[in-house]
Amino acid sequence: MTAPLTADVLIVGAGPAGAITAAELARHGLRAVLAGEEAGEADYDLVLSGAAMRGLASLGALEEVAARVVDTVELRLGQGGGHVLPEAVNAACERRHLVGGLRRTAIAAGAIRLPGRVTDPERRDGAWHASIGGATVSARHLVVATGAPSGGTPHATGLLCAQRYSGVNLTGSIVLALPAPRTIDPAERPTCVWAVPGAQAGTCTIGASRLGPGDPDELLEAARAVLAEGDRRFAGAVPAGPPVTGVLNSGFAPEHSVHDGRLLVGDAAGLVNPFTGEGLSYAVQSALLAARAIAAHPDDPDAAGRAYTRRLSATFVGYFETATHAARRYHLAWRVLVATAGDERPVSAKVRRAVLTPDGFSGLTAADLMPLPAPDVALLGPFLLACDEVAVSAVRKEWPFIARLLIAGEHSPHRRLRPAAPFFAALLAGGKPPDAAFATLAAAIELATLGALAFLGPMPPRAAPGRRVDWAVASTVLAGDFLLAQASRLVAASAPEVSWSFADWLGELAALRAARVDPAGRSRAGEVFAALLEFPSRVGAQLGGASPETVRALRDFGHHSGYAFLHAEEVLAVRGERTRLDVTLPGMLSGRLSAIPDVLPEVTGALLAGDPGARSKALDLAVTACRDAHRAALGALENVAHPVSARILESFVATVCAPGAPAPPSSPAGA
Amino acid sequence: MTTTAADSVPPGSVPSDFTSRVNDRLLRLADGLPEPVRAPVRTLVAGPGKFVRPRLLAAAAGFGTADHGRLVRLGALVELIHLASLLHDDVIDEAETRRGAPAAHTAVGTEQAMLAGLACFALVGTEAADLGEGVAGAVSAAVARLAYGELLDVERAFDTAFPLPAYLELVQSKTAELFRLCCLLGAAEVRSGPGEAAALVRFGTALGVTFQILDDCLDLRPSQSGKPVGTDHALGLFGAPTLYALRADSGGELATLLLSPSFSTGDMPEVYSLVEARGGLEAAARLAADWHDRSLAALGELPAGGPRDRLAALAASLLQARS
Ligand SMILES: Cc1cc2nc3c(=O)[nH]c(=O)nc-3n(C[C@H](O)[C@H](O)[C@H](O)COP(=O)(O)OP(=O)(O)OC[C@H]3O[C@@H](n4cnc5c(N)ncnc54)[C@H](O)[C@@H]3O)c2cc1C
Repeated sequence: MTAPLTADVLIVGAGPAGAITAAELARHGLRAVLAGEEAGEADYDLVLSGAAMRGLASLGALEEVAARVVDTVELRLGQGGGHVLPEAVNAACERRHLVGGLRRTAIAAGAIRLPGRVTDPERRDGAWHASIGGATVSARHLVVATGAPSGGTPHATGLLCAQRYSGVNLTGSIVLALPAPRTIDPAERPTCVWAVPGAQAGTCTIGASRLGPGDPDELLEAARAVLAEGDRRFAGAVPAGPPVTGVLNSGFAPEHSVHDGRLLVGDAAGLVNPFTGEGLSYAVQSALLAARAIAAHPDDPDAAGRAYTRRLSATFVGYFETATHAARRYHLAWRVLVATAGDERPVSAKVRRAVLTPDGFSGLTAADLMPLPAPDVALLGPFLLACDEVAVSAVRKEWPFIARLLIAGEHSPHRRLRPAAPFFAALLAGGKPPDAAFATLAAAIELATLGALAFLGPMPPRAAPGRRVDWAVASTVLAGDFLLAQASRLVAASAPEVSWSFADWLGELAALRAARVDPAGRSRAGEVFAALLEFPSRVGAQLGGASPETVRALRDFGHHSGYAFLHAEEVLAVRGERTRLDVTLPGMLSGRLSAIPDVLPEVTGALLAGDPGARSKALDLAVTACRDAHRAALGALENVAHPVSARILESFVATVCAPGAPAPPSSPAGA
Repeated sequence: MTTTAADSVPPGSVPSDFTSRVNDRLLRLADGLPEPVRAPVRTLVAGPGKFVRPRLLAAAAGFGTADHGRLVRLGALVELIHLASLLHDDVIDEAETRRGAPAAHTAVGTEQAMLAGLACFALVGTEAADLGEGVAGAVSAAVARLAYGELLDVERAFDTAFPLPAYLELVQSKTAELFRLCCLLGAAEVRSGPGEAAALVRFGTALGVTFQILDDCLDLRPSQSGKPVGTDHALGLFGAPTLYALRADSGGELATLLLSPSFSTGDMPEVYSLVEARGGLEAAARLAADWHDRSLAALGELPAGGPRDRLAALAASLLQARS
């Protein structure tokens, strides 16, 4: 027997998660041994989600794994026809290339690769000992990346299958389908189906995932049938390889991610989307988090484990159900997704994105980031992080999927367009550094904004009569009530002095929207949005002890920013671009959200019909209105003396108005 | 708020004009809402109501001296929470009628009814804040629990395997939470000591659970209450007797019937006999008796005398109407 190999970290399992952990550890200068056996199954194509691609790109491994970019993701929910998920860029990749490429990346970074099965590593004298083939290894840290265990928690365990097909005419898109439930019985489990183009023309891989027990052959046959239904591209599909089956384990819980000192990554930690079977983005992200946690505590495995658990909880909040209600909560999400498939309302679009794609985002934001100088970021950042923490913990136990809606993206949450930013700036306007305790009120404002959006958007159409729950309407009421009630509870507990104004604000929003929807009403479209943003600025200024003039100025600022927000939405919608609220032009018009029909009643029909003349008129109108509102907001800011406060607010409204840019020059004094 | 001698209520007595004053207050609050949210709220407030919750609140406040004006406002507040929930529940359940009139969403449309409910919840918030920090805190916590109960209630629709512990969690969040709040606010209003307040709160919860179990039984068989039979079953909301029976439904006849797409209230006699044969009604009666005992035990911890007797009498009359 050869002398034992000593290392800092032993990684058991050389799939995607293991290989990435090893590569990242090696880059941090740690000695990593990557041990694992070959799976030896047939090859197939995988979907790499946007989040997985970003992770691989950060390792410089996208080319190494021969990923092929696919520009379009077609989403088919329920019976309805498909629609394209906006701005979802994914890639396709062969499983063998992925694993081979990632192992090469790890070795190139300096990791040591040992092929073979690892049995029962033991911890003795502060180190892990294991044998692999003929070799023995000892290491301070142990990472388990062995894939999904077969006996997981029943509510979170299921089946993942894939098979190659030929005779398929799928080139530039990935298809993702979630068929409608067949019965009203909540015991029925969702099945998710996808198709991803192969490297050779005419081929694709069809995959399916399902929670609960099932037969792989039946599942794959059902998947093919679902795809072929009404879609000619799949009419001539014939199998071109054997079916491959694996275990779906989505039983992730942060507190189980470290087991007896072992760090679990990827599928081994139960990090798989229970609906889509998507696991690679989580494998990549958890691997990077584990490696960085170990690199931060190279001599202290316990501290590394604690850091890992902490980072995981922050990153994967709300993705996974651990509560006793898991099965029913999944069922609810499934029914709601399918029932709101054709739904143009902001909240439905956000929910779709939150549940089905692994990208983070937040209620009011798109990708826009506010440009801010570093010292302002240093001031705002911690406050907004605290705000997120409160908001998430207020809802995550009872309704985790909702918590996903609150995560302000993986990158720069503090520079996103969100109501907590003007609230913070307004607190600052009084001249004192904001009390950290107001982060709870900021969280309440954000929860309430999201809840209000459920009620203020256009209504979903009523479901066809029959013996069923009208999931689209029911979920609107449930989510709205739930979020607003949680928000009110936080206000009463943290800032009772604003309980009255807070409730009054909600009443105002309801009244304004009701007046807007009422055919006899004369309420302007922008008023609801003005009220939405006026409150955070006004209340922030009051609580921060600003002078009455400053409070008035900030109230006006919020009001005009709200108008600006609506008109910027219109600009994006008319241009056919993705809006911040994920609402389309027809959705805005039919839902009476837009101001365009008020000013140009005659263009509405032509606008919807795509008439270029009507489009350019509407666009001019929206751009002008957006710039006017921008100018008015900047005018209000002239009465805000605090430089940092004014700078954050200026940046906020400029970012809101970016779709209608060029930015107007600051208005002359007194304008 | 100042208390005048004329307006203060001596321990134990609920003035005879209490419910009519609560009703006036509710009308005043509704009239303060702007159009178009006012109309549906006004209609609902003007409909016949039993004021179960305000009366419970007043009885719980009977253990001390209360300001009558505040008691009326608190009574209107808890009734308003109930009405706000009704507006939203009717939107979710697509109920045709409410309190003898067409339900709000059928009269003014789904969206306006939803917004009217939101306006009511907002009014609850301002009114609670006006009544003081303690009231605002207790009310907001209760409303949050109710919203969670609403979620649980929709989620379990058509669930023939809904476990009893989950059912009890639902009932405690949905029905009993508001009963509990009434007792809590009543006790706080007259500054009851911690022991007394805790007993009242436990009493409220247990009474609410008992009330809901008996209400579930009413969905199965006609009673003097006149509640139409089978509405909940048609919506897929199976109560305690049916859930117990489903556990003993080894042949699956009951579950199959309940999940049938063509199920209607006309099938209720068959549901009744299947539930009865599986011991469901008997088991639910035992569960109700158990919670009733808990409410009596909590009552027993309160000082004997007029206030306690009146509370007991109120509870008995509530439950009597359910059986
Ligand atoms: C058929 C199928 C199709 C899928 N399609 C997609 C898709 O399109 N997109 C997507 O995002 N996700 C997909 N997934 C999920 C995705 O493949 C997984 O989430 C991902 O592979 C997880 O990586 P991992 O490294 O954690 O685990 P794995 O990929 O399972 O790797 C674990 C490795 O450890 C090895 N191992 C296990 N035990 C030992 C041991 N004791 N000693 C040594 N080695 C050991 C195994 O042989 C394996 O090589 C699919 C899964 C399946 C089964």
